[in-house]
Amino acid sequence: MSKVLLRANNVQKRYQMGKATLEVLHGVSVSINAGEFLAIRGASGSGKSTLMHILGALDIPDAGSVVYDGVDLFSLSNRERERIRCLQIGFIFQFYHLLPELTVLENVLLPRMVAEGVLSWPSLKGKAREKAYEIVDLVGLKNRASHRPTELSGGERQRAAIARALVNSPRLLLADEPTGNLDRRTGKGILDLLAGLNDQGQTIVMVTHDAQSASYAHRCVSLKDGQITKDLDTD
Amino acid sequence: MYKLFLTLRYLRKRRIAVFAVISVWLCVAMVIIVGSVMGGFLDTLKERSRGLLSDIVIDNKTLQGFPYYQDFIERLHETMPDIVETATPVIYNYGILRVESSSFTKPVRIVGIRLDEYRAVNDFGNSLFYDKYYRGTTTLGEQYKPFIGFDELDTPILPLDHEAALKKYSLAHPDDEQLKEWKRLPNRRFPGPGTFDVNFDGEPGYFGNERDKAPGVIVGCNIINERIPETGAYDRVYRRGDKMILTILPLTLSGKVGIEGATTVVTRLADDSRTRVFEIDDVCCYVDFKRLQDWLLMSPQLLEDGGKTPARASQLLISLKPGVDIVEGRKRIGTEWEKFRDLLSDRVSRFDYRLMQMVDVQTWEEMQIQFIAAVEKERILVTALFGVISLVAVVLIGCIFWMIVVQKTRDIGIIKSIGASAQGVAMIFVSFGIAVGVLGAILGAVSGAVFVWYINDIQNWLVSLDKDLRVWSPDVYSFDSIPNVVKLDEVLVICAIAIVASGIGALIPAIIAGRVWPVKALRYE
Ligand SMILES: Nc1ncnc2c1ncn2[C@@H]1O[C@H](COP(=O)(O)OP(=O)(O)O)[C@@H](O)[C@H]1O
Ligand SMILES: [Mg+2]
Repeated sequence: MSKVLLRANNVQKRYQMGKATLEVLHGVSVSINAGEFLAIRGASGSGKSTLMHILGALDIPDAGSVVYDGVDLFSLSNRERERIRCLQIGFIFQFYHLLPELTVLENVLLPRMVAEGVLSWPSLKGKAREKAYEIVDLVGLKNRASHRPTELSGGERQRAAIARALVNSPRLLLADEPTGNLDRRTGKGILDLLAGLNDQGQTIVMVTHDAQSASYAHRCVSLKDGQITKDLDTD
Repeated sequence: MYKLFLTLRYLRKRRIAVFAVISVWLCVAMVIIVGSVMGGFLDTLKERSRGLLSDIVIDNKTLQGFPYYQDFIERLHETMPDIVETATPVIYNYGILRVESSSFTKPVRIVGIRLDEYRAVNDFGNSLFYDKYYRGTTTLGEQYKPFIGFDELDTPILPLDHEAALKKYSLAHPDDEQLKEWKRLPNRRFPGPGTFDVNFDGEPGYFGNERDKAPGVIVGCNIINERIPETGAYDRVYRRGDKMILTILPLTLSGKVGIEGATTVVTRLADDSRTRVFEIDDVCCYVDFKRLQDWLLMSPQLLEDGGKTPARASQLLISLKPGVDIVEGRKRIGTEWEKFRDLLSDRVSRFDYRLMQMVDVQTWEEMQIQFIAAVEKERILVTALFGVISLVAVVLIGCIFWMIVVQKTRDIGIIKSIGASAQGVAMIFVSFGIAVGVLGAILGAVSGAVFVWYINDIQNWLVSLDKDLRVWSPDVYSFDSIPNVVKLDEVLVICAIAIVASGIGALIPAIIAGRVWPVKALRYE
């Protein structure tokens, strides 16, 4: 039996829109084991991103808890939560979200810089760059390291974003519709890359609205009407 | 580490920050220029006031002056030799100067001085033109006019004392540009400083008939000399020793014009004085104290009862021994004056006693206090005003940074989603602001300082374009050039304030940036 890395318990989230309240998540419970590749499927607007943000400690639920490695994320101080977000969790967004002023390599290095202070940086810089290069190479952007995001295609940008998510060797990788903005072939490349990472032991949670993407995962759940409705094994 | 990295990167990439830098730059330069010019103005004012008065000034501010000045000088030397260095009497009056050869007239302020003592109590000696190059040839006593003569080779030569003094000066000042310049000039009567009459028959020397042997007058350089606009140098049209006719109005003790009416005296141009205080150089003529006293009937006059009136002077200038506290000195001399006056009270006429009662003993600073205080206030006010104007720059930085924050909300969300804290993100913008401040301050300090250093050249250039562009008129500002000294400590303070202010300007946008909620910022492309 593998160890549970992350567990969401009865997570609720609603948005206040003027007088109307939009209930997005009504008590979502889901658990992710270490080494697992979980897909969360759901229609557009079903609350997938909302859930992912809560799992990744980017957003705060109205009720319920998220336990990461035995620690309740929302009982921690901001500083401690930021630390976990920086070092333990890698986030991949549908729209890549790279900093346009920086090169691919600098974008990838940024989480390392956030993790380290000014004083320790000079001594770490060499090693950090080496590691960043390795990862950039791993995602297949070796020749693009010094390019800016605007000079890259969509698929290449997503690869850069994956490299950035990996640079601090997080135990959990959260991917919010990583192929949502890509054509089928490019998307397949990205999914292959994620599957390959998973083969090497990376825990991945991926949100998607299409079945084909979901088929890359070990396990697939559905998010519907603000709740996890199915918990299916895929092959 | 990311804070420093992103700060530097944004500084390079955000063009709009250039406007923030420029605004800081301009404000810093502006404050430095205004502060330096006003401060320089004030310092020069003080220095000159002191240099043209003396440490202590005793004055009763009447044209009649006050009596027994000489007794008081002797008493000072006797009772307080520890603090009094030199004390000298001065007479002030008004008159008309006429240059005999051209018959143009000018109203002048006539100052009677004992030249040697007067030079000892203040900087007057340094203002003399001929005495600079021909040290020792300036006297207020009776003398003939000096003439240039020629040697066997027909080279023009000055009278011997002039030649010797000039030689001594050029040996002591081998680098004097002005002197070299004169040597190069062709078509002059002789290649050296000043303007002299020529004895075409041969020998140089002092010649003339009995009437030409006249007492000397030192004339304020603006009165008789033409100023060359391009260089600011003076063109000496009148020759040394030329006749200057002074017309003065002797007053009786009761302040009426005497029975003889106006007196006209013939004097000889001994030198000209350039103190660089316009009000002085434009009106003052200096003659021998004793002579002026006689001319003005301020020397002892026979009374009907056979007695004599005491001699009077307008002012006593006293210089203190080095290291003596000037206020302390003033107090002691003031007390001494009161003692002296009370001692004489039953021996002098009532009117003389009244004149003595009106006497004030003041330090040079007290004497000028109203003027100096006014300028000081003006300086503080103007600097503060420009400081307030500089707040605009702070607001501008705030606006520009706000724009950047709004533009970069998504990026800020990204940085926060990576795990950066609110303070961390805020720090990026604050240090960005400080960087803008540092850059602006450096540029402002350098350009402000350079502007101040060359401020007179800039004005000369403007004047050469159009005469009306003269900003700094010597008639108004007393000084013939704009002060151009930059004080390092002031510059550093201004720069520090600019840097801190820039950081503060960036603070509100920075706090807003720190509060960006990553989820909202990242939801949409
Ligand atoms: N900040 C917000 N304020 C109001 N409504 C929101 C906000 N964020 C998301 N929503 C709404 O919540 C629902 C779920 O959104 P989301 O989690 O992005 O769904 P998905 O990622 O599955 O498309 C949508 O209807 C969306 O409009
Ligand atoms: Mg979504």
